[in-house]
Amino acid sequence: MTAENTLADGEVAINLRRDGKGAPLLFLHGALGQFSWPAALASLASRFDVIAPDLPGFGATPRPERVTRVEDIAYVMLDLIERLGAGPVHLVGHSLGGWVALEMAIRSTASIRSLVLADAAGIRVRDVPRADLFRHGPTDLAKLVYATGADQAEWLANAENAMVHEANRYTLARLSWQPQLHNPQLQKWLHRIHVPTLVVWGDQDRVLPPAHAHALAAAIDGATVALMPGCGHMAPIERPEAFSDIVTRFIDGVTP
Amino acid sequence: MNVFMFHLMPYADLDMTYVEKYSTDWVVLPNTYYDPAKGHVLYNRYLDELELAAELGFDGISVNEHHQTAYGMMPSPIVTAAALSRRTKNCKIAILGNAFCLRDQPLTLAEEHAMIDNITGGRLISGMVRGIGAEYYSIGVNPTLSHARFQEAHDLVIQAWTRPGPFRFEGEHYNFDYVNLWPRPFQQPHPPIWCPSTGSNETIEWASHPSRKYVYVQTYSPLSSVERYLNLYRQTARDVHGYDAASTQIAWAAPIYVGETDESALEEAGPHIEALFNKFLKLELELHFPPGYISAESWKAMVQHRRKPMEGANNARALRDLGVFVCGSADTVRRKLTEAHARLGFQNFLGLLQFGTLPRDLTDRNIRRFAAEVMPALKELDDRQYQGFQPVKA
Repeated sequence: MTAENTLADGEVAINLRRDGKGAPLLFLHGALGQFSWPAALASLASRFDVIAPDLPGFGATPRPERVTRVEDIAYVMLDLIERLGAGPVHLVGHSLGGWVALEMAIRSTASIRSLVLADAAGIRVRDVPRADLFRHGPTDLAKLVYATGADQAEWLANAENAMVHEANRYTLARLSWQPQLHNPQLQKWLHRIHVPTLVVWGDQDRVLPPAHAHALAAAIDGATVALMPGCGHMAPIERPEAFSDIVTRFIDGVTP
Repeated sequence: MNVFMFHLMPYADLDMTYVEKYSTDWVVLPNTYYDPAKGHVLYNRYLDELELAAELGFDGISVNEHHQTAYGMMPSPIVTAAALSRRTKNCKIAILGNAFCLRDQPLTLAEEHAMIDNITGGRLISGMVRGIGAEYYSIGVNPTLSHARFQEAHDLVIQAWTRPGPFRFEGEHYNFDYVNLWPRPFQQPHPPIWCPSTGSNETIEWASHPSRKYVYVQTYSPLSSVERYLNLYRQTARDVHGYDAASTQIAWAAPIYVGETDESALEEAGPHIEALFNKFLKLELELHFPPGYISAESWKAMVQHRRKPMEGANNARALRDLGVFVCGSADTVRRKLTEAHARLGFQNFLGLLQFGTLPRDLTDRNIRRFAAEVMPALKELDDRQYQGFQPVKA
C-alpha cells in the first residue's frame, strides 16, 4: 500500500492510500470509526486498484476554507479522479462517503463506471427515524452504529478511534449539522444517475434504517439492494469479507 | 453600585421524576411535561416578582432567553421585557441576553429591542449572547459557526441601530439589501450592551475592546472564578487594549438567598438551589457543548474528565462555600457582597432571587429582605471602597 498526498485541484492536499492492481476503485469513507483503510479494502485490493482518500476535513486531509458542504467535497473528488487520471472508476461510498458519491453522480457520471452505496447518507425518507450522531456520548454512539456488542466494545476500546472521532465530529457538524446526514435538494436529481448501481445495507442499521436503501434503489434507475444480515451501519467494517465479496460480484457483473 | 434582580423563570412545577426517564430537561424532555395552566400561573407570578423588585427600588430587572427547556420559560425575552416595560417606570430592563446569532433574521430582534427602548424612554440594556450549546440543537443553527455568526450578527445589529438607512449589508452569514430600522433606538448611539458569560477569555478580549467597552457579566461561578475573570477583564483592557477599565464595565450575577439566620437560610433555600443545579441544569457533555461551540482544546479537556465545570458542587452547602450561591442572614449576605466588591470592584450586581423550585412565599420574602437589608448598603459602594486593581505580573 502506498500513502501519498495529491493536490486534487491545486489547493486541496488529499491524503490517500492506494493498493492493488486491476480496475480503479475509489472508496469514500464514512464519518465514523476506522474509516481510512477498513479491512474490506485489503480484500478488494486483490482484485482492484483501490484508491482510498481521506475526505477533506477527515483523517489526514485538512479542510480548506471553501469546503463547507458535502457538495463541495463532491467537486473535490471529481477533480481528484481527473488529477489521478483514474476514471472511469468504480465508486464505492460508505455512509457520508455514499452521500458524497451521490452528489458526484448527479453532477456527472462521466468518470464513474459503477456505483456502490453502502449504508449511504444523502436522502431522507419521511417518517423513518434517523439517528442523531452528535447528541450521544461514545457508549451510546457505539450502540447506534454497530450491531454487535463485540464490535461496539472494540470500537470503544480503541483510543485512536476516539481521537479520530472527535476531529471528524467537528467536520461532520460543519458539513451537516441540520439537516443532518442528508441534502433535501439531492433526491430530485437522482434520476440523472445512469450507471449500474448497487445499494448495500446492514439490515440492523440504526443510523439510517434499511428503508433508506429501498428508497435509493427506487429512485435510481436499475439499482438493486443487497441487505447484509447482522450488520449495523458499518457493513464494510463489521463484515469485511462479505462486503468485499458482494462488491466484487457486483462489479464483475458490470464488467464481464 | 447598580443592583439588579435577575429572573430565569424556570418551570418550577416540573415533575422531577422526569430524571428516571430522561437524562436532561433540555431539548429532549417531552413538552407534555409542561402544563399550560401551571405555566399561566408561573409566568404571572414571576412577572409580579420582577415588578415587586422595581417597586422596591432595584436599579434594574433582568430577563433572559433559553429554548426547549424547563430551566427557563423565556424563549423570547422580548415578550417578558415588553410586558415589564409598561408596568415599571424608572428601572432599567436588561435582556441578558438575546442570542441574535441564533436567528437567521437578527434584524427582527434589533427592531424589537429598538421598540422596547422607545417605549421605555431608554431603559433597555441589550445583552448579546451565543446561547448555550443545547440551543444549537433546538434552533438548528450550526454550532461550528457560532462564533462567526455572533460577530457578524453583532456588526449587523450595531450598524442597523447606528447607521442612517437604508443601506446594504453583505456578510458571510447575513445578507440584506435594505437595512433601515424603524424605529431607531431611543438611546444614542444605541442601548448599552452587556455580555453574560460563565467565563471566556475570547468574550472578555472582545467585550473589553476600546471600540466596544461592553459590560462583562460573570454568571454561575465559584467566587474564585468570578475573581479570575473580572480581573482578567481589567488586565486585558490594560495589557491588550491599553486603557484602564472602569468598574462599571464589570458585573457579577449570582443566586442569592437572605434568611433570618445563616442556618435557616440554608435550610429554606437548600432544596431549591439544588433543584437548579442538579435538575434544571442537568445536561450531558455532548448536548451542552456541540461541535465547535467551544475550542477543540477546551472540548478535549472536558472529554478527558467527562465532567462539567460545576460538577461536585451539587449540594447547597458546597455551592454556598464555593461562593456560587450567596446565602445567609442579611448581615452575612451583605458582608459577603461588600467584601467581594472591596476585592473586585464590580459596579453592577445581579441577584437571582428566585431559583430552581423556590416557591412564591420564600421568593417574596427573599426579595423584600434583600431590598431592605442588603441592597441599601450595596448601592453606597463605589470605587472608594474598592481596593484597586492589582495587575498580575507577567
